[in-house]
Amino acid sequence: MNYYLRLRFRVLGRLFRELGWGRLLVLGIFLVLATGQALFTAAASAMLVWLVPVVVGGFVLSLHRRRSDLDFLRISAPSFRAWLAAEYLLLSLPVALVLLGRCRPAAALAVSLLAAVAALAPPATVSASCGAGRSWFRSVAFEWVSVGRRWWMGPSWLALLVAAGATRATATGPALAVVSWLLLLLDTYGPAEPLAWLLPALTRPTVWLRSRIGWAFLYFGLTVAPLAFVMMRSPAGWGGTLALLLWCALVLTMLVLAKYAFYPHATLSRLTQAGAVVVAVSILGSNPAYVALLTACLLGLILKSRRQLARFMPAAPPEPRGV
Amino acid sequence: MLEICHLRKGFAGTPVLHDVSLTLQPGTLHGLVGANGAGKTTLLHCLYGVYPADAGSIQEISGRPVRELTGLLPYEPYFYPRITGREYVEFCLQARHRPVPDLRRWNEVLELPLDRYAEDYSAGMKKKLALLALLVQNFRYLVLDEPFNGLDLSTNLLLMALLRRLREQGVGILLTSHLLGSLTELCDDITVLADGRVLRQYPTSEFSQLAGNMLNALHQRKLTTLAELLP
Repeated sequence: MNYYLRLRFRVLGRLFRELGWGRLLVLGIFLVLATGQALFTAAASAMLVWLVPVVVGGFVLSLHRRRSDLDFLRISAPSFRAWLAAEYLLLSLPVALVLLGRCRPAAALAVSLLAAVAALAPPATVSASCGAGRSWFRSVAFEWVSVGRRWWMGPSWLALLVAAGATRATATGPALAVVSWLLLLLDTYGPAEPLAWLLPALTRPTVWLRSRIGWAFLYFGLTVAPLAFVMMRSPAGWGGTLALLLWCALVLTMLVLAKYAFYPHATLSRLTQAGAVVVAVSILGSNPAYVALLTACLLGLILKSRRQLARFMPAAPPEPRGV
Repeated sequence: MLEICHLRKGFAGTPVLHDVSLTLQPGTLHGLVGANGAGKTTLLHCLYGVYPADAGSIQEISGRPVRELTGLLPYEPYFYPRITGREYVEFCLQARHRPVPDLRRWNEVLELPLDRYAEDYSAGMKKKLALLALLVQNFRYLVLDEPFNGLDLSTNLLLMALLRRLREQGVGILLTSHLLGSLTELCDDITVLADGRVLRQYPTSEFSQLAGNMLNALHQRKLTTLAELLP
């Protein structure tokens, strides 16, 4: 098991080195601060603390089921499930230690157990739809197709609408419903499409990025409209609703840009996306420094994603001689 | 001897393999041919235990686990990002608790840049790297899914020589390929798979009938149309 864990750490170290220590430091500080704050808040409540094992377990399970190396491990390492369980246990250890430090041993144990048990889950299978034919729409709005394949998105949306309606007497209820819907959609923009999809469609980086952000806005706009309507009728009013929607648009933009900032390296893209979301969430704090940081992140992501995609552009044909 | 008896396998209610039986003797090369979707890769994965069989049995005659004695070369080998060729081979060996030998002699044959990241290799080099990880483990059986895929002509010839040597060493090799010429040149037996069924097994003496029979079995109607178009 040691060599497996050593290999994973070595690979992660190399990916981090490529990400750059400066970026990693900023990203790491924000991730640690945001996660720590959320953990301390949850640990303070006897009820909320039980959300932590559920969230950590769900997160690890989601990562596990999407791992691309499961078939390789099954072929090359007969006892790979135990290795994965140990890896997930190590991953969840900092959270468990924080909970233990806050005198929540049962929740800490549940975090470690749920994370380790996730190693037993089978990989996610992508069901190819035979009935739906190829169409222009499906090929350009492929993220929408991916949302359509997640059966739980429809009921979740309905539940959020009901929750927003039931809490419309307050501004917080509908606002939380909008933010929850955004968080549910974030995963759709996580995994980057393979090179074979991207290369034929990539004409210019700016055009591609604009189209991806545009489709993301359209889908989010259409689906969030009923929730936003409920929020507008709440004490938040149209001003509050508009401000929240603008913030959601900003998060979506940063998420799509972060997806391509280190394309095609999935781990680096996911880390950048996590950092982008944390930075975007941080402006909800009152410190004006966060706004400056957010602006710097957004500009950085715009430049980095354009530069990264430009690497995959076909070379310009040579100038004809004698012209 | 590896023995597959009356194997059945399906996915989501759709049968893929129907009552497939075949044997692989040590020191023989057994080819497996069939059209795309005939069930070749599913059969290899069932043999290796990647997919559990719905019915039938797969066993080594000594009773030892098939995986312990067998190495599988997948159609598309997987490599972690940012891992060198050497680290990949070392990991494959360590994962099975085997000692890591000196790779220099084997690499004189395969000529791989072992200290470069494996993800930057060409398709043929990736195939050779995955093969190297199997060769250094001294398996009794090898299951190779399209081993010639992506290899250039000279490497193709080298691989054929390598497989013949392994056969002489007593290794039983089951391989799939779309290159019928390579298979008839190499193999001792060839099994034709169509729609998840064994159409026929050919010994060396009957290889001359193989291409004609396959064409007739798989494309009879198309041949009739062709005869009308080009009388």
